Amino acid sequence: MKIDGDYLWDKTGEPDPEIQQLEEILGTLRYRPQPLEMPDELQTDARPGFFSGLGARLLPRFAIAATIVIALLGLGLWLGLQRLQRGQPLPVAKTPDTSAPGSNPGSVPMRTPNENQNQVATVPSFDESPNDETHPHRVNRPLLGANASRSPHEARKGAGKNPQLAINELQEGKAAKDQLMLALRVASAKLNLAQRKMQNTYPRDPVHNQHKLG
Amino acid sequence: MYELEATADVLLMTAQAKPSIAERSVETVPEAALVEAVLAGNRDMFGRLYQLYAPLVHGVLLARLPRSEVEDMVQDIFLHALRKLHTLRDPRAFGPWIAMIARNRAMDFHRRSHETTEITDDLRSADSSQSRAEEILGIICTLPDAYRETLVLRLVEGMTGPEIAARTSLTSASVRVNLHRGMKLLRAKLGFKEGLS
Repeated sequence: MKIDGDYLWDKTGEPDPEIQQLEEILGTLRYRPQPLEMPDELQTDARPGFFSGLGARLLPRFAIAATIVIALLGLGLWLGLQRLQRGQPLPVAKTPDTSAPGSNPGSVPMRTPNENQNQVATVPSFDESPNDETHPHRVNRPLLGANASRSPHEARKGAGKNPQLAINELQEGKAAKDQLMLALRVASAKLNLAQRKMQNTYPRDPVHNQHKLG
Repeated sequence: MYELEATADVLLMTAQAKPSIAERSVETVPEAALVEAVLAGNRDMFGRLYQLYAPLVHGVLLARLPRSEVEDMVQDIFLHALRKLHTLRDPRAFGPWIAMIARNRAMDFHRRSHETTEITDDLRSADSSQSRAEEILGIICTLPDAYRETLVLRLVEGMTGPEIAARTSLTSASVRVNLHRGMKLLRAKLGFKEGLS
């Protein structure tokens, strides 16, 4: 078998007459230089903008992060509003007195927690009925304000003395827990929805690296 | 130097390793600077890219399309490339990129048309050497894809093997094998024993 050698590869070495003949015949079909006719209005498209370049890849992450931040802000705002609606705690409740009454005769007499309970329990507007089915999660704002600074230990002590108060506190706690769980579920659903939307909006481009030959 | 008695496969083994496009620096790839210049707004530089790569695109199309379609499509492809140049991520890969555009355009052409080629007046009035050339080109086009494109670039456009490898981003070894195996098939189909003419 005749070997073409280097001539076929890089036109060096001993020329192959058959290849030369083919080159001569096929050379008539060779590209003849022609000027490229570029219309004046033809412009190179602008460089990819933020939303079609790097931003397109980062946008889903930005969206998810923004959703989380918004959800957290909303939750914080909601909790703050709830706290405001419950009213300010009584000023006297800020300094729980652990000393015995009358130990400091020169100072202004302070109420004991039990005294606070007694006072709060007699607020006329407070509906103490635990069987109020029309408002199962009704917030007892004066009571919450009065008990806001009480320690759990004190609350348990007070509950021992006043079972009705303990039931109310449990209901309040349950209602607050339910509302918090509902808010978390809503935030989670919104996050999932945003993530799904971003995945559908920006599919991966399958023709990247199209210049690579298989 | 390679031994004259060596076969194509042995040549493949002894070929010197050629750096890929990714390994070549921007300085050694002038088209990278041209692409950057065009992207910066210098449209005249695109004319230089056109001069450099028009034979490649012409050869890629000639291996796949009727000759009457090739000239116009070369222009179309370069205008398309100018519009979409910003999508080229690696300026050093302009050659492979535009070659792939040409291959895709050729495939689109065959999808739209029904593989019918009308005999135009130009073909009828072509002289005997031209018709012989087109006859041989038709035989080359019956070869497998990898062989026919490489053979057209080598025998029609007059590019050397290293040039083909550099412009298409194929490895030197692949181009060498394609050339030798394609030439072997072409010889068999042409029947060189009887002579070409």
